[in-house]
Amino acid sequence: MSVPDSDIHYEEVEKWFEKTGKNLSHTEQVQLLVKAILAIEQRASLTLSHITVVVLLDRILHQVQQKFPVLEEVILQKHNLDFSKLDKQQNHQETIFGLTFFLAEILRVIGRLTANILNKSLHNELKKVSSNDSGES
Amino acid sequence: MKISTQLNRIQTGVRNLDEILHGGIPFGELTVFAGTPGAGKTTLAHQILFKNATPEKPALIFQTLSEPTAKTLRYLSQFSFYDSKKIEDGSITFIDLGGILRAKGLEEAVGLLMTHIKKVTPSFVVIDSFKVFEDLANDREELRKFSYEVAVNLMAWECTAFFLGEFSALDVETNPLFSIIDGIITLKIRMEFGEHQRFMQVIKMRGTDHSRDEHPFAINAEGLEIYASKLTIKREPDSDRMMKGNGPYRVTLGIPDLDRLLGEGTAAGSSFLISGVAGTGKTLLLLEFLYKGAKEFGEKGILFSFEETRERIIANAKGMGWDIEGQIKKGNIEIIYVPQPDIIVEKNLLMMKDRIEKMGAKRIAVDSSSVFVHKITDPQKVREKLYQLSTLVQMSQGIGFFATDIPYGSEKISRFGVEETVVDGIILLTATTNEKTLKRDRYLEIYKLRNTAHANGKYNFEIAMNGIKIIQKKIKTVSRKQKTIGKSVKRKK
Repeated sequence: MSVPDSDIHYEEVEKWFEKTGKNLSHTEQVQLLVKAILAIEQRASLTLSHITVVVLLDRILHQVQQKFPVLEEVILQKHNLDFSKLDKQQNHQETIFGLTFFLAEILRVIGRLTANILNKSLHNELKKVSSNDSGES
Repeated sequence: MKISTQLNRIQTGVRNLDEILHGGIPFGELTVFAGTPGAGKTTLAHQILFKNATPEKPALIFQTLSEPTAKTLRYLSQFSFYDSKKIEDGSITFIDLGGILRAKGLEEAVGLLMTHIKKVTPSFVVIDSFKVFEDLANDREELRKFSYEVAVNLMAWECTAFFLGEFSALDVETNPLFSIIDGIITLKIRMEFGEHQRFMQVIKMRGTDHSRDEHPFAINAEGLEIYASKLTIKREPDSDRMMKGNGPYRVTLGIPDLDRLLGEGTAAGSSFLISGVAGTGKTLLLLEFLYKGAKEFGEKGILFSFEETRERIIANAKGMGWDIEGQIKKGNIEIIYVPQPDIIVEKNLLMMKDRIEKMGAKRIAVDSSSVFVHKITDPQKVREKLYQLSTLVQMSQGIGFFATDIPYGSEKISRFGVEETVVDGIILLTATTNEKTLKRDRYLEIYKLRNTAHANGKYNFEIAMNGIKIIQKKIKTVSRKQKTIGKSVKRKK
């Protein structure tokens, strides 16, 4: 049986977040999601090169921000994503939804562009991310 | 859970290009269309976009410094694939970057492209021409960096992109662009058989197998039409009509004296060479073959004439008592006349395939096959094209009669000496002058007929009203019950 690519990644993110972020506060959940995004960025850069991943993130962020204006404060700088201006105190629920979507979109787009070859590695990387020491890196 | 990794394909909308690419261009690829000015690069790109772009999957066409967009649009509107709605509804957007690029240079070019791409989020992008960036770059390194950035961005935005340019074979080896692209399609114009002909070739296409041959093509009102006869005219396995039990499905021609010589009948899908010097009755035999099939059995037949005009053929047939015109009106016979100077073998093969299939013709006559391939000088190529001609007959599961002129005084049985190897049968027509009567004595011989017990030797015949008539009385035939092409056959036990 084959399922749409997007479902696989959204399911994976939901499963991971349900398990790892369950008993966290909203602020900690935001931090956990940011940590996961950066971890995936780092792992993807290892294989795809940083310049490629930055370009991919630019595209994904552009589309995610249209859907979740709350993430407009996330800035893609020349070498990394900057979440420092993300207002962690307001509209937590929307921020969590937006970051979850961003994370799943990163997995989906990279999966799609690499004929799903990196799916397993990236999903494994996601599973490694936990709330312990969940401050932004 | 299985995740499909097969790459999606884009159907190009260009006749036979998808066959050449074994299914189309893989989605998300970056392909270069390389060729001299006027080779057809822009038309090819536009044809693909007009087939594929929709408001949900839009296309951006960046015009750089090659030609003004107004000019492009004016020429584009002449093609049947052009649809103004696609421009009105935003499926296709033309962006002229010429002036801005000239002012801002290469440094800001990526940002400029990306501004439009982010705004439209296109599924397809064309840069026409990419060669201009080479002129704007200060050195190879700058060009390499720029090309890479463009390629990575297009990949990130999941665009299928086409870069057009006057790239040469040397560019393919030295231009940094060619190290990052997925596909190369070259378009060329060169002299062949004394005429300017267009050729296209897929040099490289990642993610798919493809034909590596050069394929002739033309640009007509429909856009590009590629003649990939090797791919489109082929004998499929198990496609021959067979009798229940054993043996091929055999048919009769409806020319009684000739049928007696052909023994148990001819296997459906067979082609015959009708060989003889000029004036031995080849064309008349072809006409009788078509006319008798239509009149006696209602079988559809088609004549491709490269020698005589349609009017002259009809008049000649009338002189024999054959109302070919009446059969044309009934839809049983078609005559397609192609003047010799207009013969383009690849194009005509495709045309013949179309006409045979459209009509459902079961009798296919070519007058003459020797004229049809007369511009080809390579015997191997002649053989290949005649094999394709006989394959058209095999595909129709009808019968083919191909006239061929033998040079006077020659011992050959065909014009080029290779035709006899590709056909199933040869009917040799000869004539000698009778020293007593000073009249010409005509002879017909079944020189070859594959897998069939046929009459042996030369038979004296005359051309009488209503067709050929064997004068010789004794013909040894094989007793079989024969049927027409469209009917079933019951063998005598």
